[in-house]
Amino acid sequence: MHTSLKLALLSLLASSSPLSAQIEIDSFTFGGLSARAMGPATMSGRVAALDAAEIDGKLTIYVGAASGGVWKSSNGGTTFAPVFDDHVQSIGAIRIDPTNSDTVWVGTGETWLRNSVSVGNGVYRSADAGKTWQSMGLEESEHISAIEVSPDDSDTVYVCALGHAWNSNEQRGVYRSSDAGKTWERVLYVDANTGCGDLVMDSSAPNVLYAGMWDFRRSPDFFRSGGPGSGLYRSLDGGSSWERLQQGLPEGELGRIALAIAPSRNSVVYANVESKDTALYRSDDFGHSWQRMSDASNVQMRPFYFGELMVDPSDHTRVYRPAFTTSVSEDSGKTFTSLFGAGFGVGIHPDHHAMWINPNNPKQVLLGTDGGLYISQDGSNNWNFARNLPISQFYHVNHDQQVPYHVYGGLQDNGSWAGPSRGPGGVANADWDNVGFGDGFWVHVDPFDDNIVYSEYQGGKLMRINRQLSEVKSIAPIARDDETKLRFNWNTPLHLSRATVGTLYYGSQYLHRSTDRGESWQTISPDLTSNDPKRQRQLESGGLTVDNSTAENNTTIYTIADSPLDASLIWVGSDDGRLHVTRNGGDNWSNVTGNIPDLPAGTWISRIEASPHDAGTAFLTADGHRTGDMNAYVYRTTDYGQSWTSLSSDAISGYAWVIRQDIENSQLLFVGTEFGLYISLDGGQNWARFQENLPQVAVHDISIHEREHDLIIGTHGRGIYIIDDITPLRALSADIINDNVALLPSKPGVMYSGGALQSFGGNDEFSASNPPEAAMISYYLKKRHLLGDLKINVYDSNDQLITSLPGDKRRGINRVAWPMRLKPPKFPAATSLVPGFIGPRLPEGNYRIELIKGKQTLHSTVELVPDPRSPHSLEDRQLQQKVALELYNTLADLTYMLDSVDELSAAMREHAGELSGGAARDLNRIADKLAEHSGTLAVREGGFISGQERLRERLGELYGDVSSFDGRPTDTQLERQQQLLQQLATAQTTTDALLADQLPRANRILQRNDLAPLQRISRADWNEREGIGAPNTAGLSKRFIRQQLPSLLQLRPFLL
Amino acid sequence: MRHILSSALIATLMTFLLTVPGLSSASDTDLDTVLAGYLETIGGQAAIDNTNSVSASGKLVFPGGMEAPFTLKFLPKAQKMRMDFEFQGMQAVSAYDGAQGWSVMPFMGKTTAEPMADDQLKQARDQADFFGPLVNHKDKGHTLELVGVTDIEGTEAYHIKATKANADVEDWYLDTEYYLPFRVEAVATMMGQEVATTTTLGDYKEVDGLLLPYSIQVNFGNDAQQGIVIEAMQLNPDIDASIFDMPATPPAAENEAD
Repeated sequence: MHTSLKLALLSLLASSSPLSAQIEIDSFTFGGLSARAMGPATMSGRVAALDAAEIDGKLTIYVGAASGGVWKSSNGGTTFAPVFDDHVQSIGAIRIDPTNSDTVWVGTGETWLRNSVSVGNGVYRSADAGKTWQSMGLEESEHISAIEVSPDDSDTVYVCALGHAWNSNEQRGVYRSSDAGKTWERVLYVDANTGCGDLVMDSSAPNVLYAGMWDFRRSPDFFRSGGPGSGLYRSLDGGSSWERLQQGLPEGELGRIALAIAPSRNSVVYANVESKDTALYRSDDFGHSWQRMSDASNVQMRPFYFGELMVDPSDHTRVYRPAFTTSVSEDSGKTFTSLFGAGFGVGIHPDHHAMWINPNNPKQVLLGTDGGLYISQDGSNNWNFARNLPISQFYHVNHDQQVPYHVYGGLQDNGSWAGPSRGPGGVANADWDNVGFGDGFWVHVDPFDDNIVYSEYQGGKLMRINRQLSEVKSIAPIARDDETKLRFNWNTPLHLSRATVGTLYYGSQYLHRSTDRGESWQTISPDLTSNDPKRQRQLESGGLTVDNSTAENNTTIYTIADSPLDASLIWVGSDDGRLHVTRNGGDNWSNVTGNIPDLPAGTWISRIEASPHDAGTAFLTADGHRTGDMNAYVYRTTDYGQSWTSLSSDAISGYAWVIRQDIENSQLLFVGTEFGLYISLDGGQNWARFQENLPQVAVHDISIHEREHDLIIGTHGRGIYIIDDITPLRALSADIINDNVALLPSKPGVMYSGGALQSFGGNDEFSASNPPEAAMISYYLKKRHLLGDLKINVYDSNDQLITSLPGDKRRGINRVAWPMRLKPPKFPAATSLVPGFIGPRLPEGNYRIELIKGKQTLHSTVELVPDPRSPHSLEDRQLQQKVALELYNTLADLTYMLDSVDELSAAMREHAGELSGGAARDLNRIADKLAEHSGTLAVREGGFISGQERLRERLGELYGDVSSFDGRPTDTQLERQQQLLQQLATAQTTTDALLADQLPRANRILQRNDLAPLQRISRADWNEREGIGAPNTAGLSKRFIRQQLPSLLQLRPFLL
Repeated sequence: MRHILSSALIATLMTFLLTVPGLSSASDTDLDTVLAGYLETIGGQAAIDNTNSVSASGKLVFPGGMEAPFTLKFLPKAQKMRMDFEFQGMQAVSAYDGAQGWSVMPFMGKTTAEPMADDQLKQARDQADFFGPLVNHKDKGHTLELVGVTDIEGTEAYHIKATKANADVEDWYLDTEYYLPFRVEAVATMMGQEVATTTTLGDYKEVDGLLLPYSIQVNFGNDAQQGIVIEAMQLNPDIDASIFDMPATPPAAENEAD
């Protein structure tokens, strides 16, 4: 082959060429590469559904998150665990079977139908209290408002199916099953645009049901609540027949209806009825006739979003109306007062959607809000916030370059936040800082100053924040008097240039650029949208109740990317399906939308990504779900948008939010969809879902940390996840994937200094774990390893074996943690623990790795590097390592000394047991002398907190102090070391003298009795027996020891 | 090892040819076939029946890499088990004598043996069943059910649900190639709380005609984990049966003399 041709081919391969070899993968190819949940839960997310029951004297709570799955607490809310991670994460309804609490029903698809609402796929049932779930059909219902289970018959179940939000469909209305969900009968149906918005069953007469039918439609640019299909219905025969209730209810079109039956008097029914004059109605005759009670502000507030109504279980006149805040009426709904002093007196997040009142104790109340779950024990006066529900809904994520780096992002109705990627003892809620309010979206850190953050809130309100001062400057561009009003998306794109450090781009219908931190803006494009007036109806949006929160703003720019390789190349995509590119910094723009094959016109461009490898290459995702098109659209161009290739695949499920190309391996692509994270290793030819500790949650944004090689995942419903170090993933080539076994590269192991001091905060709060304090050794297995050894040996530069680690054995990528320390020091036997739980640090540098799989051996290296923040000089670190190692060896010397003596005395006592008379007595006396001597060097009386100390304890304490600090030991410690060394030398002398005196005496007795003489074990033999010289590993935080070791050591040690 | 491997392959092939008509998949296999395959692979019923005692040594590996050397001794037929391990020079013991469990945990200063609480006793009893519920299950009163063929971390596996005589349930997963168990799921009760445990078995090696796992990883709930690495195993060593008995507490007078 000609050299030039070879070079051309090589450069093609090096770029983002579509010609790469296919790499067929599945989810297990990624093996043990796992995502780490960062939370946070300091601000939680929207709680859409709740149910609870008292079981065994404890309150069991199920929480349905708007887009974060189902969480269960068996202890009244102290701890929660996710129980629905293998399924769609948007939850509309939860119902515990009233007669069998092991049976739990979940209706997927939230029905608080805001613009960002997610979608479900039917109804699920658990027969084992949430451990496992079976899909029970109604897959096309998309949103389920309520489920009722008959208290007379667990097999009789009703589902209130709202149906599609974005287009017509027929799987909506009230469904009934008489066989626990095996089959369903649609018993109430109006038309393909009208769904069931609420359903209540009279628990004392389960054949009586009330249903609020709701005619509504969402569009990308408009929302309509209300229409001819809406109405209130009642069945008296278990759903077989229904009559529409109208007496006393408003004339004309109705909207959403919220319903509640008074448990203490079942003839009383309340209905919050949306109409042109929304009001609360009460019926005293089982719904036959209705009286208008109230049009209080909370009653009229956003009926499409607030569809919950509750009656006190013991008082039919006490009515709760959760809405912007929760109001309560004590006069059957005539007047309302807020539970929260106008909503701001108590720190409760506004926007209330779900409520549960304990029927046995109405003072106990659960409240689900846009900000999470609150629990009251005193009838709603005071509230605990559940700090353990990481169901936050991120729109975007970002990162900075601090050590450790921080992650940033904006959240639905919970502002914008920043938190560290790791911290002492993990990342707690309190480690997160607020960097914006309202609905948060994009957050960027100023590239010149970590203290300056750009964030925004809904509808294009852009801010620059000085974090130290918490000072906010509004910096959004504003149209001049002679210019057209600017149109900003709900989720307005703010882009920090990757090519020109410090340049900001912001999108209205125009592209704006600032080079002075937002002090001034240049408009560098014409209107890059359709500017179609039919899509600009936000002022009328809402239907019966106008609702213009900017959520339906349309014909706006939604995504911006400049090429990291060419500052004048900028891409812009809009929410009405336009894609433009400029190659001269905005002087000329080309509309390249028409070049994208098979993309339906007007489909929202959800993300444009400029390749960091090749200027002509870009990737886009498009999202048609707001018109009912649930396909994942993924495309690539390699010629500046002239032509596009679809990278879509049946393996990708859910409409697409984001695509990222890896910054190092051009063939490695990441796509986030409504149903998770998808990865391709071959430039988009083959895809697989990444599922290791990452639920099937909507992935709205992805960020790649350039220095740490971490993949940062912003989910809309489960907070932020980090896949620590994707270096092994980058190395999965077509060749390696076909190898039976292959070592993969990892980033260097960083020996971080410091750690948690102390914390006794109980376990009622979420905390993200840190990545292991270890160098990670990665390898690939084509199939699970079953037969023979699989282990990793680590050698130092002298080819001395440092440790042998058991290897993980699963198919795909495996990662094994090597803690970068020698194993913990040897200690002589005693009666108390001393603070020497971790071995000394190993010196920084390269270590040789040997992976042994059966008869195969593979070689690689791993590098250890110091903490980049370390204030300690290399000289000081080396002194610390030297002293710690000396003390470590001193402890081994002492252990040998005492072990060898103890073994002799034990042998003497054993022989004494075989002998009798004077021989036995003399042997025991010698053994006593030896034991007495040992007791002067290690504490063997008393026990825990005895306060006793000997040389063992003194050495252990000094070793613990020196080894837990990575810099220069104090002068006092260095002096102490010399003193203890002197004590050891003295002890050695006295020990040797004692043995020289006593051992021959003992041996004479033994010889007289025809027994073999005893001999002190040699140091060399002891070393070999104890594995010294081929030391193993160590490294265990004090926190772990304190909190877990005592119990762990007693746990199930062996199962075969 | 070579003998075992080849017999494993032959067993797989034989059962495939004998029991599966045409080209149907592993999902058509029945429980007896899977159990027969398992027995054949690990060395056969006779080898199991001939196992009167077992000893093993190795290291416990805790998160963060801390290790504790241990020795294990079993009398499988009498269902006796004893584990000794060492930490900071202190010797700990956990044992089951076929009826009673006891332990010595000296880390907080208590050096005498204590009887096990019910939770631990149940675990110790399970552990003393050296060959586990798949072997001689009828004699032990366990009920086994082949749930089907499933996928565990990308490995095709037979799923056997074992309902034990005491009503505990364990889910065993055996790979469909060799019929070797590589995962066991169970629920343990610890300090009054139910904790799901997942045990991963691997590094099978031949010991005197039996194929046994040398690597055992136990995960408790979501985070805590414990690794057991066996470095040496021996079948039918001489073991003094009295080591499984709980030692008598030293007389009070002796303590006072300290």
